[in-house]
Amino acid sequence: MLARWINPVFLGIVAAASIAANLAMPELRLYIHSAAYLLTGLLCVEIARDYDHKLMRLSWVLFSGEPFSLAASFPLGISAVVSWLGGVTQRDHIALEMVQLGLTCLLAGMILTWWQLRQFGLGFHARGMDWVAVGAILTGMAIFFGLSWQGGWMFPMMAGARVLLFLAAAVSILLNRFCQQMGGGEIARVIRFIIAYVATRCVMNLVFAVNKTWAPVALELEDLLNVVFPWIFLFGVTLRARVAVRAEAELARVNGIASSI
Amino acid sequence: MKHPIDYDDWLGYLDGDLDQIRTARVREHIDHCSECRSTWNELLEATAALRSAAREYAAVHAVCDDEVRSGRERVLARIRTLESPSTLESVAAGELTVGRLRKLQHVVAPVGGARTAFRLIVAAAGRTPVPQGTAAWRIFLEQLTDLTSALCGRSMARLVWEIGNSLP
Repeated sequence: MLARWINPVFLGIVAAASIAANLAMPELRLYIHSAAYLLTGLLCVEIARDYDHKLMRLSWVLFSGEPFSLAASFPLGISAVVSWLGGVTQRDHIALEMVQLGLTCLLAGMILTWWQLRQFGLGFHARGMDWVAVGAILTGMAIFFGLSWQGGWMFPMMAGARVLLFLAAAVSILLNRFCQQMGGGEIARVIRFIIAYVATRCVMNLVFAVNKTWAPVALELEDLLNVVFPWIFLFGVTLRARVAVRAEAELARVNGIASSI
Repeated sequence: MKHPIDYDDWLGYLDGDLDQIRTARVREHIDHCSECRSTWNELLEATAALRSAAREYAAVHAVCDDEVRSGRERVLARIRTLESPSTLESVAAGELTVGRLRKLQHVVAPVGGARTAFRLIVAAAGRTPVPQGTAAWRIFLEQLTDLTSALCGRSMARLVWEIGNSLP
């Protein structure tokens, strides 16, 4: 198990160091992010294997699609080859397609998780205020597209990815309510990390839109969010993978006690 | 008294969607339990009244089957709210002692959350047909393990199973 070798404290130190390195040397960013996403994807697959419930397993397989797609869109993956074959424009086009594919997987995974939590019959339900918040997010999406239209910098492939991202943010509201209704616990914490990941990317896009449309007033913030967001996903996934590791350790302890009696 | 019929069973039985085994189980319980028989009669009356109202006003208000269904679900939701237990003491019966249930709740809570752990135990107890029977604890554990596996994964489910089996 890969998760057995990943200590969250050590991961935090690595994340902090790499964020600092990223900010100081932007040319490293793609490589570090690529490695972080690759690790996230592998952990997602490991979590999926821990589920016997088919749809929950599928949701984690879908979650793995997001980091794998992004890792592939960075230089360690296909983009270097594509760049060599078809030039920079072709490379960017493929990279955007991979981003869109990843967000589709993320959104599908979130919707499936939400649906399954409802289906378990444990009393998880959305409230009226949640739907108001969903409405607010969709309004935010409209503002974002308004800005992009005004700035004239959005092209269709980018627009598709942004729609998926804002829809994921809307599903996040419903998932967040379920987390509250769980009354704490690691699963809720993991879901909140995924929500934070989506939220960070949404904010990053809004800041990007403001910078592009008017004046580059918040370049540092955009830069910071850009280096932070892959680690949020990795932290959440690590926490979930560590649940299985801890359960295995506890199981060994219980069995050890039982056999010694 | 604990009733082995949960919300889904009521709904499925009403719609005739349950498989043969579950249908037989629900029918048998309704035959023997006066409280559930009374609930069932109320449910039938409510459904009949809603259907009749739907037919009566269909021409004017265009009431459709979906609205009848949603009305019925509201009635069922009300029944569920009235019957849902709020403490482990109200779930405990026979082999399902409070001490054992509390121990399992403490195993699941750090991962699934405190409220989820409680609801999992209530749901598993609801699926245990006769809590006083000798095999009740095993059936309850199987149900709880299934639910935990779906929510928290196989490793946690195995832990719940092992700890559940080791409890005195």
